[in-house]
Amino acid sequence: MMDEMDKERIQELVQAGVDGELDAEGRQRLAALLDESAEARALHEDLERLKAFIDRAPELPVPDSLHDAIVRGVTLPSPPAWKRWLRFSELPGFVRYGMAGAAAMVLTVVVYQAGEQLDPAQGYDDLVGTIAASGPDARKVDEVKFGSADARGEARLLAKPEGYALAVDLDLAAPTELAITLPGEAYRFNAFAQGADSLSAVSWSGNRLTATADGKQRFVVLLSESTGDPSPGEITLSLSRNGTVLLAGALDPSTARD
Amino acid sequence: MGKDQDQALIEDCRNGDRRALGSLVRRYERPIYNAAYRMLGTADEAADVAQTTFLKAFENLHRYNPQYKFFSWIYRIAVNESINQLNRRKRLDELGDNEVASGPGPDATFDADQVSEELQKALMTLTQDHRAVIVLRHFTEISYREIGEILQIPEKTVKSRLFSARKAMKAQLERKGYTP
Repeated sequence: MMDEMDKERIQELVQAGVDGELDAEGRQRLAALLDESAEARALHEDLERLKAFIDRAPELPVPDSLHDAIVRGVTLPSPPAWKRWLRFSELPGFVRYGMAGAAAMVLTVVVYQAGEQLDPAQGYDDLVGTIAASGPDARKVDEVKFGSADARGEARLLAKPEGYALAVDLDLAAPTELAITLPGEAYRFNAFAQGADSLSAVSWSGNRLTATADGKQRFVVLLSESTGDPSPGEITLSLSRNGTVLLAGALDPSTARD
Repeated sequence: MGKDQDQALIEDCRNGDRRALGSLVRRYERPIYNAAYRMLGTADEAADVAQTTFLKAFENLHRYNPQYKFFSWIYRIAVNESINQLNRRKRLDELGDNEVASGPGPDATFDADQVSEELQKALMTLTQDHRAVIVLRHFTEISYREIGEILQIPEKTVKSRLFSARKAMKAQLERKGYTP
């Protein structure tokens, strides 16, 4: 017979096991206890069944209007004056476009200077005025749209005389990892420019570009063919959060050859 | 939940960045709403409490100590707001229809919505203290230590309270004909 103290210790150990609160040593003690005590086994089974029952209850959806109601109701401190100047979306249109153009030019120049495989002779001046990668010489090849409760956007692949432009628009509710993967060695990254807000932790190596994005983002990646492979495969784009892929899409450049 | 990401968003909120506010709200609105619903049992009150929770959290952002996790802080506000709401409500008639064994019996199967409904009825028969530990443990999946921080009770008390709450919950479900 267990005395009260034993009973309490057993309850605590069994419950902690069910709740995943035990370390390796605790799990060993629990396994030994379950081996030797029918009472502990019965308690363990009871708690597991109750937990399983509760876990079957679905998570309740948040009412549609709640997010906006909360955000509208919250008053934040005014940002410092210098930050207000940088709040892009609140600036007049002509200032916004001018700044976007200037930012794109600076970024493109930086990229040209930084990357070994970049070729200034190809001239991407049009990127300055065409953050969305459009223009009279651009032809849409493929596009993918995606949307979920907290991640929306689209990616358009445009064929341009000097290669391809991949224009991406994102609207994300939380920081999200972005990855663009080129098929094999068929293409290479040539330049990168971004619009109003900035991606963070942008890096590319080989055929993969990664970055962290949040909120509304717009950027353009310029690609050029490197091998002339007639069927190199698709360009993939994925969004993930905490290691879980939220959305993934593929763009096929092959139709541009038709 | 990423503590560093929360801290960065909070810092941006302190600088007046409404986009950071949107991200922070998006991150916690669902668990806060769900916890409030399980504490209160009605969607309207849960939405009110969720809204009040965020308003109070941002009004008092200057009091938030970044040494602690943001979610511990905001859950504490949510639990307290839920309890305040319960206290404002007229005391429930615990001897009403809910006491009648009207469940489907031990061998019946039931879908997730039925489970949710029966679970809610059982939760509402628990004391506020018992309900809070069950809700925090099962619907927000946080550790004993964090529950202790939120409810401001020792971890040892969390364990014993959780055990008693589960026992009461099981008994209630069994009275209604469920055998969890």
